[in-house]
Amino acid sequence: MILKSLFIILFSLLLIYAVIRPFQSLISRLFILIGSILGILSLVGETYAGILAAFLGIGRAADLYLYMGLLTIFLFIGYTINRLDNINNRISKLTKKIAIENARRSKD
Amino acid sequence: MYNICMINDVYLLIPVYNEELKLKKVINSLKPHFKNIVVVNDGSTDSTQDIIDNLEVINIKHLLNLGQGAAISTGINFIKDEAEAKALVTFDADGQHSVDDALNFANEIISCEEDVIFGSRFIKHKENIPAFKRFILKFVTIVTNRLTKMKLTDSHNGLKAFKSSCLEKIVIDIDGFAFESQIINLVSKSNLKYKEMPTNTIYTEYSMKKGQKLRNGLIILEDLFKSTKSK
Repeated sequence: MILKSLFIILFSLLLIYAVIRPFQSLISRLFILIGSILGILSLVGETYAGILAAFLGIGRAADLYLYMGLLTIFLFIGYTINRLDNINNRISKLTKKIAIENARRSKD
Repeated sequence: MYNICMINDVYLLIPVYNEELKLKKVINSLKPHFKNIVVVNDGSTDSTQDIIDNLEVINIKHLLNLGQGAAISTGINFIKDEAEAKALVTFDADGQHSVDDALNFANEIISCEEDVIFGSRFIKHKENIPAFKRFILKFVTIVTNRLTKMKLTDSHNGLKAFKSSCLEKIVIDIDGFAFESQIINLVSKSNLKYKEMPTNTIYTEYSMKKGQKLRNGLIILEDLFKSTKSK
């Protein structure tokens, strides 16, 4: 019961976070929003999650969470790689700019 | 035959990374012929920078090791703003290119009507290339030609020459070895005039160790796909 309450609080906080945080991407916001709603749903009313799973053609609520989990992992990996690429590009541009400015300064 | 006078208006661009063993010899062999040698130290961790400091060349230092493409990109961005530069020739620091080839490229890019000259190991002296490397190079060249609609015999040769007038169009954003393919793609998309000239590449145990690793082939192909998709 304590664990269940903890998870309900956790998912509720996640839901509030998804609503109030200014996300750059709408997909990220929707993903956290839907994920946290499904989490709360699975804890307070298992039957609703089962109905949703059946509606999506997945069958069981447990499988729905498994697929959601896998999707989350792949999206996170993709997002992280993209983010790292962006950081690399910014570091690269900065390094090149500093190098050229230093070379010009020492030439003058 | 090349002009044996000192060349003032063609800049030589040499990217270096941990080349303490060969750099001094390479630069000293070029100095009697080229007034302007730009050495881009791509974050070397050995004594390369100390050697450069004593060589009286134009030195550009990357604080971090970014890759050969980044070093070439920095060099191009520096040279394109140099008033004296009419053209530039890229040259490898590991001693695998010959000074005669660099001189030929420098004289030819000034006198010819083409904007870019690509070096090719396959026009002459292809027997110097180790068999497996020859096979890989051919494969990469076929893929590059197919993707860029160019007709080259060697897509990954470090010896190249560019007229300064076309440098605005050569914007390299690939830091790794695949920048070679990106240059070809940019030349193709910008409709720049180009031709190939033979080069004699001297393969030594050292240059083979320093050069592109075959395992990088997949990364090069991945970057090539990215560069052909981008504008």
